[in-house]
Amino acid sequence: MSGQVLSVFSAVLRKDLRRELRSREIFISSFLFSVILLMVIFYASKTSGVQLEAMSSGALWLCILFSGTIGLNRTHQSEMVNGCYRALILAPVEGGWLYLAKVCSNALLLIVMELLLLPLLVLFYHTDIGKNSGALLAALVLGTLAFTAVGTLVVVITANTRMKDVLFPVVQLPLVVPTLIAGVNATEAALQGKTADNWLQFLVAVNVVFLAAGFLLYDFLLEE
Amino acid sequence: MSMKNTIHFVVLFAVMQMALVWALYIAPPDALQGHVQRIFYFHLGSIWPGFLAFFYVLYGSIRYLISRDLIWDRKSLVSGEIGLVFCSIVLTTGPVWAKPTWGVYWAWDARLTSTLVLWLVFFAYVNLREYIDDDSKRPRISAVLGIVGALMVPFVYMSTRIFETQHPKPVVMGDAESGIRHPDMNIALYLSLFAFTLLYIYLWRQGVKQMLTEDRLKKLRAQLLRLEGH
Repeated sequence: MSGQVLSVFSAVLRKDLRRELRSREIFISSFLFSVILLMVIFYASKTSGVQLEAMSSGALWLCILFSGTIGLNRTHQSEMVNGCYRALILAPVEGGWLYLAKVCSNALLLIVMELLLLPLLVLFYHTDIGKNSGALLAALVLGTLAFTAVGTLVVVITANTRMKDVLFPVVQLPLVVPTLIAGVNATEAALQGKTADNWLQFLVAVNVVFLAAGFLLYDFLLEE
Repeated sequence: MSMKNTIHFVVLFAVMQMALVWALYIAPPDALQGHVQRIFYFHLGSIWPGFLAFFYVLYGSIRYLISRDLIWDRKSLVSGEIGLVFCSIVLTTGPVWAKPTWGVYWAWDARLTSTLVLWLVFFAYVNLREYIDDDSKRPRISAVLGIVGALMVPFVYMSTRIFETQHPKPVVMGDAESGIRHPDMNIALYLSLFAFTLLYIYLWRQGVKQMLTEDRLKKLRAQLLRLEGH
């Protein structure tokens, strides 16, 4: 059983990553969207007199949230063409493993995008990202995992509705508010060179709860 | 109305009146905040059944996914609807109290934010089913969202302890230095908690009955159409 689980898990993960490596459509569009967001956020908050450096963790997380939402929606929609999703359901393992593979691939893509956004933060927002890079990395990885854990589940929920493109962000964004708050605070602490242990612990708790819930509930969403 | 319902309604009415009298008349005004503090009895009275309703959504959704009995879907839907109403009461009574006390109607405080988030999540839970065309999928998809949404509730509660907050400390089961001291205040609080819990149960029972009647009516109508040969 465990060998089969592992092979299905890695097959789905490899398939998702390879598809994205070949087309690069989601990655390029969400990365460009993030660059535009960084510019928009700067001009939207310029008049308030907030210091550039103080804005960077919030700006980074807004980019993660919005371009992550676009990306998740797009990855799920690409599964729906040509009955790909139906074929995926036929995999001889519990749905939970498919869910975990999806979370991993979505999170990996998003984390790569974040790593590319960091130099842009240095460039645009004069951020010093080297003060506590370990905590910064931990905050980004844990936060992104928590974000995709909820998003991968919600995207399947809203895919069953009439207005999936509109409903997905409306249902998804309130559910990721705890992740956003903890992520912004942990990132901010890391950028200032401090430790962010209690926020990271909070993120670990969110991850545990929502990954477990997703693992158990995904099967129910796959029924036809 | 059945006998049980009548008794329930009479008790609910009596307790609600007593809660009103105690909260508005007998309990002394707050030493610092004055009369505006009285709204707190109804504020806390509403959040408690609000949380209760959302836990019931979690319970009912799990029961539905296990048993696939539609009654659990109806029970949790009604609970979600009532919870949404109570949550709205909390979100309106809060600002009424906050303006004279804090000076602003709304502060982006952890507890306020989480209640707003909860309201948004359950608004989605109650309304998502309207957008699902497939009758057989509707309860299943809603149940999953109900569970995910209700799992947020512990994080809401945790947030009051972890985040910095200007919201008053928990009055019930809180620290020793927080809370209310006068016995009449306590009586008013517990009366209103009891009254609102009774109100929640009463509304829930009526709602479930209405839903089941609606389902039966739909079934009968379909049968009638079949008999008529349509």
